[in-house]
Amino acid sequence: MKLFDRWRRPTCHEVQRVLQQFLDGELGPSHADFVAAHLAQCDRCNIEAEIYDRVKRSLAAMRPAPDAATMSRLEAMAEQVIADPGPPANSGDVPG
Amino acid sequence: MTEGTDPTGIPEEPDRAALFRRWVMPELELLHAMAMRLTRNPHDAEDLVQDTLLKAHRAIDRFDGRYPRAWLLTILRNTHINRIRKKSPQLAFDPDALFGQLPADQGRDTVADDALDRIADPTMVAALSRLSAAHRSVLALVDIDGLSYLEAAELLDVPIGTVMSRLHRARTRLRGILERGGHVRKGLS
Repeated sequence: MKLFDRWRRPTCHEVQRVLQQFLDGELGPSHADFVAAHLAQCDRCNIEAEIYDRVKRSLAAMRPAPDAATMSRLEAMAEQVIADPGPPANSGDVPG
Repeated sequence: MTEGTDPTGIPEEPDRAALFRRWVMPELELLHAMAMRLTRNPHDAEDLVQDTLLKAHRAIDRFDGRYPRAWLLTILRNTHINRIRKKSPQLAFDPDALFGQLPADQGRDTVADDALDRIADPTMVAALSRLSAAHRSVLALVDIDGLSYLEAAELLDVPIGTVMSRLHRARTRLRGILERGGHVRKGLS
């Protein structure tokens, strides 16, 4: 997908269109370099990036911490599946 | 003939175990977190993870190795849907209602936003509660649980473009709510 002309600097409008993909790490490296360069020299777009980054960090902080006892049980469960996977079963739930 | 492969080309147990350890075991925490979102019950969540692990192990020699998390999440979702259909055939599977549930307030933030260098949990929960379930679900999967766009699309069973557009609208609305409450500064939009 062509996001912006790679032979010229992207405009603020073009950067705003892909800013969230950039912050999510979902923008390809060549486009990400252009966005990073733009943010480094554009205060207005940089403020936008800071706002969304703060919201994103605040949401990430709500992720429940893994429980050590549960993780131990899950690891034991996985080892048990390797040791004794049981009979072949209906694979209807498996994609591909 | 490579080690661990019999003349029919079907991987023997050691190879299946190695593939399982490489692609499945690193994702136990993710599978459990998603199973908890789907079942809301620790016992049911572990049952669902166990079924998912068994199915993944049986199918792992047919998996091409691309996007293992998305592959596992699809097995988890399909397994969950079939389980609820068996229990209650009349119940429809509504991923937005399940994934969009708000986390319990853990009451861990008692200081101001600035001191936390982020916005406190109770403020975020209150702001999220004002969004639609479809918007909350995509924010929960991508921003709280850390899924990629592709992984969220697999779980919600929607095209990746739908995840991107919903995410954009959800964040714009959330940011507006937070801005009006004075929790984020005013920007361009």
